[in-house]
Parts: sequence; structure tokens; C-alpha cells
Amino acid sequence: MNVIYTFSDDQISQVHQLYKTVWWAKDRSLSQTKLCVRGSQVCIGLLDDNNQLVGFTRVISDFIYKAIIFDVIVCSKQRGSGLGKQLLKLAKNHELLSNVAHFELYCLPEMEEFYQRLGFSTDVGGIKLMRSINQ
Amino acid sequence: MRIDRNPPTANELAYMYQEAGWIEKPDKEQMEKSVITQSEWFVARDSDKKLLGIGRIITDYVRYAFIVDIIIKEEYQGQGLGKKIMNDIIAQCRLLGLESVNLWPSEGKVPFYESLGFYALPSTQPHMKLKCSDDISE
Repeated sequence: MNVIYTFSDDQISQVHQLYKTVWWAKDRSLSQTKLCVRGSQVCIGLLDDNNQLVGFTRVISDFIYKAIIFDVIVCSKQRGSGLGKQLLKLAKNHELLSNVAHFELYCLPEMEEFYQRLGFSTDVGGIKLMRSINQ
Repeated sequence: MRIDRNPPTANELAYMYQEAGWIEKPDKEQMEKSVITQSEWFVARDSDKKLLGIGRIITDYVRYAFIVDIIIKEEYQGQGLGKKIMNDIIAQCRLLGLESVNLWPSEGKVPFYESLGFYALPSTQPHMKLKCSDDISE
């Protein structure tokens, strides 16, 4: 498995294809995907032996206090083979992120157990994330 | 008073973190790193350039923004300055066309953020955290 941190236009199209495989990201356009990859502070991709993108995640971070992990996606054929875990490890150990104080993510309820197994906790010290939707 | 988009100095930031009680003894090197790291700053100063308050977001510039610092100097609290900085942040996020603005409220600040339209995420979207000292479990 090859790991990439920068994405060519073709690889961004492959990220877009991965987005289409999950209901929560399937409506994102290619141009939004491109902005997303270019705008995120860290992006990580996993390529199979045919150089096809099989896993992706991205991180918003100030490289000091917070790193928020988004869009952890593994292609449907490769799910259950540990690639999600590999992506999270790569994020946690990334040279720009390895000293960040807090790694955070928010996920679907059915994914809670998966992230708990990787050391994430919903016990966030009573601090609850709040959100405002832009109109 | 005006809110400008340049970062504070490392010394100013250290002072603000101490004032907020977030960091007892700010590390100089870390403060210097903080003011140049990729963030969007909203810094309120009076006409003499004196620092009154700071706001900072991190964002992917397309979907989400996270507010990581909102600190108002004690003697300027209660004058609507926090709200002004927040309104500037929200306006900037709208300008970028972001989907949402997110934050982790300090203790006691939930009603303030609720008054600005923020709401706590429902339990159907677990918010999870990994402690820095923890490695990804095997």
C-alpha cells in the first residue's frame, strides 16, 4: 500500500469517486472535492498496487492545539481490512500533527465503537462541540 | 475599536492565554509557532493599537470552520466585544460559503454561544477525542 499526501487532479477525481460511495458525501461535486483537498491542512491517501485510491482522510489543524479528522473513507471492496485504522495512524503520526494536543472527530453513531477501539473517547471532559449552520 | 485580520504578537498571545487561564506558563517557542501557523485571526484593538481581544479559526476553506480561540481582556469584557468578534468570524465563514462554524465552549459560555445561534450536536453524532499521549490502539 502506497501512501500519498499530495494529490494530482486525477487522484482528486478518485477522491470524488470515493465520496460517491458514502451517503453522507455523495452529493459533493468534483470542484468542491478539489477545494476540500487543497484547503485541508493535511490529506492522506492510500493507493493499491494499481495506483488506485482505496482510502482517504483529511485533517483541519493549526498543528498545535487541534487536529480534527474528517472524511475517513475506505473503498467498499477493501473495507474490513484495517485500512481505516492505518489512515488514522498515519494522521496521528504525521510529522506536522504528531505534537498536536487534541485529536478530535465526530462520527455516525454506528462508527463510535470503531473509533473507541482506536483509543477515541466520547468522554470529552464535559466540553461539547457546538455548531452554527450558515444560512 | 477595530477588528483586524493580522495575528497578535507571540507575547500578546501568551498574555491572553494566561489571562484566560488556559495556559499557566506559555512556552515562548510554542507561542511564536502559534501566531504564524495556518489560522484566520480576528484581533480587536483600540485606536492606540492596544489589544482588546482575539478570535481565531481553523478551516478547510470550503466546508467547516472551527473556532479555537475567543478571548477578551478582562477589563473589556461585558461590552459586546466577544459578540463583535464572533459576528466577524461568522460573516467571514459565510463569505467563504462554509457549511458550518463549530466551537468547543468554555465552561459557562454555552448560553452566550446559543444566543448567537449555536447549538450542541445531538448524541446521534458522537463527538470523540483522542488524548495526545495515546497512540492509536492496536
